[in-house]
Amino acid sequence: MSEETDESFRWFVVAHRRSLLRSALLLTGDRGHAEDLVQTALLKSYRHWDRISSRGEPVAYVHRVLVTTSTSWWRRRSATEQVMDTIPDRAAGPDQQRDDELLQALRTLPPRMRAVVVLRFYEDRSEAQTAELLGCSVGTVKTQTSRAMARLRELLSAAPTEREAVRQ
Amino acid sequence: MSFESELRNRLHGAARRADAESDYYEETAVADNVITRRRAQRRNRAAVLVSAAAVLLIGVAVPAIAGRLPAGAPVAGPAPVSSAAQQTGEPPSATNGPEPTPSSATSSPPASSGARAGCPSSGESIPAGTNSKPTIDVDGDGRPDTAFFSEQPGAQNGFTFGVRTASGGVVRSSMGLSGSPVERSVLFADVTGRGEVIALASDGRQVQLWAVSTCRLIPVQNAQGQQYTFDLGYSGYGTGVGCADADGDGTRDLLGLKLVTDSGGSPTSVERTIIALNGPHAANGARSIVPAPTAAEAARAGSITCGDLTMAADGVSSGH
Repeated sequence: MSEETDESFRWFVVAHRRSLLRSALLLTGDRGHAEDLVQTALLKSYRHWDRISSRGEPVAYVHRVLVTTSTSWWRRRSATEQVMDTIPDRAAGPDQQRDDELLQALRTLPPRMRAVVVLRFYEDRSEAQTAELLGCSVGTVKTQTSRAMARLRELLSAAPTEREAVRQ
Repeated sequence: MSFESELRNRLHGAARRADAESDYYEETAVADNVITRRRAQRRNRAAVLVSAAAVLLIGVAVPAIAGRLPAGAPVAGPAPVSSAAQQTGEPPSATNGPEPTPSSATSSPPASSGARAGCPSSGESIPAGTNSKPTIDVDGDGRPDTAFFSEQPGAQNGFTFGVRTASGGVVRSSMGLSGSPVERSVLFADVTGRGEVIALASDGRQVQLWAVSTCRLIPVQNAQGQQYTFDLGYSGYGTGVGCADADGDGTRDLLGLKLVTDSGGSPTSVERTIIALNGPHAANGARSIVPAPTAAEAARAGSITCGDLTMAADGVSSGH
């Protein structure tokens, strides 16, 4: 790789790693795994950086790698390790508590269903874009979305903070 | 609010709150780590290929040689060979030993370990007669650096400015000549306080925005692909530059400032536009208005500052 390629890659990481990390956090439900996932996606992308950057769409490409890596990763990892819970590193405020509930609820979804939720409702992608990214049909995305909504509605309405809010 | 909207809000909130501690040095360290790992992988692959080729060669050559030896002569068995150097009979040395494994290659300092290596020494020195002044730590090695600005009459780009780092590296660029009769000056500043270093280069009419990255000065571009510039009251877009936490997220923002005055010239408000820095790109972000500014706020809106640093006190000028 040339010095120019490295420089272009550095700029990309400086500009976009945080947004990748945010998506990765929602895809994995855990900060540590999210960092590993982003690192892996960047490493995979850097191998072809000349080609990716010359096409002018590196953001879309790296996001695609992130999502596909997360689903394939999970398949491999689920046999050996799973995040059961996270240890809070600071006193949890109301926002933190709600975030933890959300991440925990997301973690209960199968990986592809979780990816559908993140792509549709966090990255605001259309059903067609989501289907293309995940390599499935639009019908599958619709089904997965509907099931995910039902599941999350159930889980999040049962969460303690939600119940407290209802009582008030 | 529908459940979908609520979910959307919660996803964005959770993601935003989770990465508040990320910083510029961490991002560049991650990029460097990826580059180092990839290089190590390639070296390892090459080493494996060489080893495989060597083993194959031994496998073919030894039996062939053995076949030509007279009956009863001792035959060397295929010794395990792990490197090309051993094939040549050379003793192992530090330079031809095994290639680093990916794990050893990735043992670079942790992303948030603080000081980094400074810019490599280039042997250059600041030309005699150049104005220079101590400035902030531009290369992240924990030591203050020296900003300089020199005028080169007759040169196409008449003004050269930059930084000589404490490690001996020189980061420089040049400013084109404009009709402005006043002296040129440059101020280096860390916008967020976490290593997002910029240079504000002024010709008295406008201020060019530069980013300092990996020992280079890079012109920051606007949405139209031109270098981002701040107006200093000559085009009506603004009157100054500053750095403050304008959106209340706890991180300082780069701001374009515009002092608005009444017909009598008395300050009535200050318009602040957040400049969203995104690597080599910048875009105008949210705008807010500070009504009835104090004298200090009004003065600041008409000058080039960043936090406690001011062009007047901390910048370095061409000095003509």
